Amino acid sequence: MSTDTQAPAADQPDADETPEQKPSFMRLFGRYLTEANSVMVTIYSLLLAFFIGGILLIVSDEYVRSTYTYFFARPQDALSASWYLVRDSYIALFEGAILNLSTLERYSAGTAEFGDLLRPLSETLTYATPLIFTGLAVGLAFRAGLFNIGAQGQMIFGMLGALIVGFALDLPPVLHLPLAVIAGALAGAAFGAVPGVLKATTGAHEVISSIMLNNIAALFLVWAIGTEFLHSETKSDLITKPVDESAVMPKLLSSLGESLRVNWALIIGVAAAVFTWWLLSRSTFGFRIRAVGFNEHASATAGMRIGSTYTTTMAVAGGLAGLAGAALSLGVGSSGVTTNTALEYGFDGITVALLGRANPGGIVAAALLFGALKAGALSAQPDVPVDISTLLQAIIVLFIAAPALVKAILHLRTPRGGLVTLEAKGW
Amino acid sequence: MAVDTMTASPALVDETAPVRYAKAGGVLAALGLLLLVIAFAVIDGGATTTISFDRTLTDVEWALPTTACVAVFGAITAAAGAWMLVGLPKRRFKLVSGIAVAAFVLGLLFWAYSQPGTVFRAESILAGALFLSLPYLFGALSGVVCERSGVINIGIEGQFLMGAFTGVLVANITGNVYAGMVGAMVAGLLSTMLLALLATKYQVNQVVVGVILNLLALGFTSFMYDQLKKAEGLNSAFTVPTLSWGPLADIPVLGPVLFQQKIFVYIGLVLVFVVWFLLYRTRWGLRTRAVGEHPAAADSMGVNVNRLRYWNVTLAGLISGFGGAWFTIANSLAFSKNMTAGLGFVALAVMIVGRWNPLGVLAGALIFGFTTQVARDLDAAGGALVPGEFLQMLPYAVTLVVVAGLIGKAKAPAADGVPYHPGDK
Amino acid sequence: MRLELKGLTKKFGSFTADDDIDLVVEPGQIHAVLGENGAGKSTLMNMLYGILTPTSGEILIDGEPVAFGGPGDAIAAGIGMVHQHFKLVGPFSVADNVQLGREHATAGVLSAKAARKAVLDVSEEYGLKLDPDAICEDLPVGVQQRVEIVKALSGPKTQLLILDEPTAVLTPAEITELLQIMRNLAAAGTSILFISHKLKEVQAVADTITVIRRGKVVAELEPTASEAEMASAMVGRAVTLQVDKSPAEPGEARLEVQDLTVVSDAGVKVVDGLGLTVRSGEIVGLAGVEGNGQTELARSILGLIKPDSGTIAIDGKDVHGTSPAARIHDGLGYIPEDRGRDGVISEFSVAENLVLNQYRNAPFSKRGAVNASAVRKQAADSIAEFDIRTQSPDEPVSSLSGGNAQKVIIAREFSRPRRFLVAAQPTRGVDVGATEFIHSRLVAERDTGTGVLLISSELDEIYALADRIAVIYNGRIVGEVAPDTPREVIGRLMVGADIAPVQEPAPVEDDAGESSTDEPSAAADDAAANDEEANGGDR
Repeated sequence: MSTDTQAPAADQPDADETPEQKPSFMRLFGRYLTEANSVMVTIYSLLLAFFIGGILLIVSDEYVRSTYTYFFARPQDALSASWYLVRDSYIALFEGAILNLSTLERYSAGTAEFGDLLRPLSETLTYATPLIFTGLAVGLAFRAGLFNIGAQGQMIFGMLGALIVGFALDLPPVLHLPLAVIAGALAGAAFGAVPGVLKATTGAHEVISSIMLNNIAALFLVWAIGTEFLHSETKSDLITKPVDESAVMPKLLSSLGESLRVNWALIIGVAAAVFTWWLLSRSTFGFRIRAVGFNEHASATAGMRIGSTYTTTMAVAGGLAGLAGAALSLGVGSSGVTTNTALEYGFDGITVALLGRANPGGIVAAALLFGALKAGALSAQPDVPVDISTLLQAIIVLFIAAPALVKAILHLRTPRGGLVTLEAKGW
Repeated sequence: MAVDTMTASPALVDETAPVRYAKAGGVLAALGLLLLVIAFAVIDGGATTTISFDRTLTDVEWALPTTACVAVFGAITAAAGAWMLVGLPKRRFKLVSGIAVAAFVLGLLFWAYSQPGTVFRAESILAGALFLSLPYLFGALSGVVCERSGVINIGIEGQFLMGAFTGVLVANITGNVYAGMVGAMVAGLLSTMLLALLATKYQVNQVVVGVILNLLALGFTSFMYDQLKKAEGLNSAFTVPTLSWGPLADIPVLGPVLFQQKIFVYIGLVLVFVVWFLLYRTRWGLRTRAVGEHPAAADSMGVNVNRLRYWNVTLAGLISGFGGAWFTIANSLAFSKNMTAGLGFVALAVMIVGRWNPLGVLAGALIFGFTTQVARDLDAAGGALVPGEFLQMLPYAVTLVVVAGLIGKAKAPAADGVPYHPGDK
Repeated sequence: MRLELKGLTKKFGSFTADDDIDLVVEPGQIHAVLGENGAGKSTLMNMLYGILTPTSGEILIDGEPVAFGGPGDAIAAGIGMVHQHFKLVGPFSVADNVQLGREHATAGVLSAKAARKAVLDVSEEYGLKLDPDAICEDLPVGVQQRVEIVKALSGPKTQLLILDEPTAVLTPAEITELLQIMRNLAAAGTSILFISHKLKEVQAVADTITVIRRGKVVAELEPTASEAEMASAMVGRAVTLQVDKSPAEPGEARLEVQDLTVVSDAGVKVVDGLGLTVRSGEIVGLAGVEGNGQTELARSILGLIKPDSGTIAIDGKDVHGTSPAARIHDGLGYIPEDRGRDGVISEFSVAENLVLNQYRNAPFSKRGAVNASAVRKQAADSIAEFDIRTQSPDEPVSSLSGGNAQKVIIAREFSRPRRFLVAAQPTRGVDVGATEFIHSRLVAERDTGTGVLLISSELDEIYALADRIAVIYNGRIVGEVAPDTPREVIGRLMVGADIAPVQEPAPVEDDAGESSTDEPSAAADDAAANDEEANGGDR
């Protein structure tokens, strides 16, 4: 990324004018709330996004719009229709993602299992799992100053790699599953390394090349599913063979209910986040990644090899995205991969990484949030348009990327040390 | 570039002295030899490549011997490569490399169209190529205006989506397809205005914001598409008529290509020259280029850098928004989710190929349009050598090659993507 | 024009860059503002030119107070400025650069003819020869500056010219010419504000001298004031430019460069058959105008550039094909000329920067991880030994002053075994105190037996430190002379006046070579011996 702190504008005289007494806790807290520090910017970004999302829900709903045609005659109609629409939409999202209130009633009445109650959370975790991987894939590259938009393509190749090992080899479970996962990571790494190699050798901007590779990967997937080698022997639509039972990710909560889809990939995801954290902040390789990300000239002068840093970082990032693919083809897609299995987890990884500010911990949190959005949106459709999750994500990260905008809209104060922004390089 | 870093004494370069181009020459020679091998070893000796003039001279069909033609093109490519290896005058390099690449492409084309059942319908394909070059053209021209001002517009894809969606929506509401086009332009303008604001006033990283704006446009248009689907008649296809220029339209090849097209084609072609004139011949253009190369210099001469950038980027949205209308209105299609399929990014590659110059952009867009059209045509004809998906990959693959091959050499405006704070050195 | 500044003050947050500056420039006068780097000169000029807004105080032109909203207002008020960093758009023609902001256009369409004529008019009026169609980035620096001057004079009614450090990148001959141009302009009635930290030039040309230090006016001097007087006013205490050092005891060769050639991307030979030897225990000063191949030479020694031909041997070992990391590991120290770009990572902490080129070696690396305690100990040691002023080792380097950031680099390079050191512009943008410290460390380094290549565009620095002086011009060493060689001789070498004509058409404009022949040839050195002959052949 290079998280960069923009120095506070020089002509900002809003430094403390009151003499330094011991300010009370409440005052400090109040000051914190009105300051554009990264925690508050995150919170305000979320609130603003949901506010804007609400407005868009209102203006795009035909019935509510019709109540506005006679707004001046009976404003309460329009206002209550708007309120109920927004409230119901967001409640639907909540119920799909966290806790379904009617299930809770049935559970208290004894007509529902505990597992049913957990279903929304399980869905949230299921959708969050690939996002952790793709978020890490984007975030790690960001720290080296690379904007990896190619997670989608890397994930697709990871998916295919894991799938092939998953059904073509005949191995005991202890070997088969790990091997399939590794195959996914390697396939993703190989594909991810391409933009890195291109940048290192020719200077081609990774944003353009990884977008092109995404498109190529998507078309390749369509072709690959149709090939005799991969295509399902039993079904006629575009779906692949299922992976062997020995390579399927075990479900985590199957004892509580078969519908709880969350599986071991989540654990691998958290482990990957811990690994990425260690890599970035403790390892010598991470030292090099961060150095190159901040200033490649000084890094080169210090003897670091820039090109190989780009290539290796992109390969590791691709490997992480490949794990997302493995999580899909060995998890929710284990009964057969379609063109739809990958959804847009790769692109969502961009928003996850931006919201998580390219820190592994933040990425896990962001993945959970966006996983919840996705689970909620998918369960709430068609009453709520499913793309509300994409829309809200984009608005949130727009504000995250432009803290100055949040600051201006809400008249926040500049924090000490300036605003935290995200950087990527131009041509 | 900031002049203060340059060498004190650049040597003069002799334009006529032969220079060796080892890399380019080697590649071209190898490609030429490859064509020769294909001609004699792969292509069936009796195969013919058929060229027809399907719109004007419907009874004419040329059947040419494939092997001989491919061999000739291969020889030309190889000879050009060899000349570069030996050394040729610097000023000849562009011409020779152009001829070599064209010969190589023609060789491939002759091979591809030698499959039984495929006919190179020259007029349809060339006319289609011009039409298909338009999204690249509009996107790249918008990019040129932005990047010449020093702002990277990676959000062209999003502006396309906004234009495509709004164009159809406004056309449906007003019942007027031309109002739809204006609507598309306004939608593009509003999208770039956000980019302009963030890039100039808030000095946000332009690549990051551009990517986010794409996601925002994708989310917004998909969301609205689902919402409006519930209401009838807001997303029906609208068509613009094809203009036929009377007798001019009957000239072989030229007629169908140039005088029997939709208004989008003419607007695109005129726009190329308008943008070129504005950039290189007017006060606005001089200032715009100065702001993109060396904003501090422009600032020191009283040019308000960020205001000029803001308005240029905002107005560039009119072009990319109009380019969005191409996807729906020009193609007589209703809007569908993510229908731009990454072409906004390909347009950026076209801009780089065109070296940030409107005339170069036209050439680049035509090449990409031609590639896309041929891929589609071969795919539709069936008998292609490779699966359809691989043909569809062609524009993306070409972009990859172009960006990798050119970017170090094509010089972007020096201040491209660098926010300007007044008072900077 | 009479310009008066009354109590002009500029604050950046809590930092006061200029504090209550009073100053008067009389019509037709050359008024020099003298001050060290960072004394507040550039801030002052930027206020005058409308780039910055004063916090308080006022600017009066011919007695009338003015307020500038931007450079456009200053230009309209008759002020022209030649910036320290040229404000020329490289790919533009001279005419386009001059007309930018006040274009010759009808209905927005440019008239190339009118623009060309305007340049020719001004250049004729003031005797500043220029080709309006030349592309600026192709011009030698001296000519670029002429474009800047013509640009500044082309304002609707320019009567005051601000020259901000105009001589920094010029050759001695070009400087002489510039000073003459200034005198001519003043004689024609233009007021000139001349910003500089070079005493000799100020003395040569100024009518009045104002000295500022730490944003305040500390002295008003006459040009008759002695150099010592000016220097002490500038830095606030008596300074010794001379560094105490014993005679060098050169040993075996630590750097041997033979026939080195580097061709730039543009196809220009920036280093052209260069040969140079530096021995252990000596400092070789590489003098030359910037942009004559010094940067490329230094980067080739480190291995950042692959030379097109020739050999480099460090410590007796041909380093062909080895990586910068290997060379650093084998004892190459490197102080890059552009500190912010190449020397430090400003977002990294002081501690991290101190191990930037050693983080992979023991003890800083342990099984793939960075050994934090070793890094911390190293930082504590270096901060103490090199007197790096920082609040803590964890502060980012961006919070340090230029001098302290430079000390971080020096500490890093001096904290590991080294055999040979490249020090490029080691005291650029560094205050006097830190300069003294760095100079003494370089000499101490030499005394331990390291070979030192000192690359500097400041002749004073070369004289203060070097045991032997090599002069670089157009990518070649055009002379190796003793440290007591007079300035004039080195100055002539720096512009290539004393070398045999080169085979290819010499690209430098005629002005450089011509005017340098006017200088007295004072030396009896062997470099000067073939003086007459070489000049005769030159042109």
